[in-house]
Amino acid sequence: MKQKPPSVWGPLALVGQLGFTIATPTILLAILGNYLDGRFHTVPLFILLGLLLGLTSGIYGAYRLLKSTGVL
Amino acid sequence: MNLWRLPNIQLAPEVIFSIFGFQVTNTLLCTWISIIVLILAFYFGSHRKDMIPRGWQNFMEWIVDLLRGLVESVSGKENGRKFFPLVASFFFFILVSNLLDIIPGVDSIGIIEPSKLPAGAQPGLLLWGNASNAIIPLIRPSTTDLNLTIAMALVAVITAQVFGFYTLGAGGHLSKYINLRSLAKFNFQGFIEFFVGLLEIVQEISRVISLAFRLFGNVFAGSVVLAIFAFLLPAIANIVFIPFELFVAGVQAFVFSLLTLIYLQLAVTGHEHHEEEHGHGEAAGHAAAH
Repeated sequence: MKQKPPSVWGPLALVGQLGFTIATPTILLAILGNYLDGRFHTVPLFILLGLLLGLTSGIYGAYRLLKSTGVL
Repeated sequence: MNLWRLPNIQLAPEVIFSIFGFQVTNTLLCTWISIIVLILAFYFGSHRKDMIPRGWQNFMEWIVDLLRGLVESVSGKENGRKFFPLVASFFFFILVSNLLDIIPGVDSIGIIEPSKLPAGAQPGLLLWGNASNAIIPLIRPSTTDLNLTIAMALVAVITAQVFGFYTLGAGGHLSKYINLRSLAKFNFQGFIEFFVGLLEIVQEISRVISLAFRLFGNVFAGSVVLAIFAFLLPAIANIVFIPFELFVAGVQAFVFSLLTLIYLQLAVTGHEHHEEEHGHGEAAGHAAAH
């Protein structure tokens, strides 16, 4: 079977979006963690959890994006 | 006295007038202009319907056909027909409102703001010197308004959810996010799959923000660059920047619609391709074990 030629359009969709995909969940969950810390007076706990979960989610999202645009 | 002042950079759109308390901003005016331009473009592209298209009809059919081919290559013929209207509308609307940025007069023709005028200045048709930034632009590209881009991103993500529910059913769609079946397996891989489902929820929320801010940021930065360089180095600097903004306008319109398409496609894809991958993994694991 003939291999499909690599598409130019898929990688083009990553312009700018890849960085946002990683940064947005990290910032969102860090803000949420910061709020929860202020609420329950548990200062480093929730913001660290939020950062960790957000970064994981960002990397997972970047992986999904790369996978679905045919780069990976 | 200086020859001119740099224009004011303002993030929020300015209110031009209001109808019955409904505030009409300059970006909303631009949205209406984009809509009118699109209606005219498609009317003149389709009112004759020649079998052998020529001129404008040919051009419009070429673009629409290109987009249709792209949509169908990503999501197949059947789903492609469902996704095409939304994706193509996003593409044309964002393209036209981005391109309005390039037209001279956008961002620089406006009404005079009396409170910003320096004392004793007599405003005429053109503003000079210290008074030159006392202007509210009448038209400002609509994609430089965060409200519009967030609204479009919400439409994209919510439509993806609706298509997900419609195609996979409520159970199939929700199990992508709260995967009770793999939690019930009660092993390490099950927990990982459940955790990935939770990450998917975070992803859905951050998609709205990332889509909206990327489009807004790129176009707003472009329009600021054009406005500032028109004052810093008139007539020369924009020889470089206008072609670049033309490129950015096209790329951003394309990226937004393609990402919408990808999110729609991800929403209607169930677990089958995941399970296929896991199947391969298990098979490889068994092979290694034997």
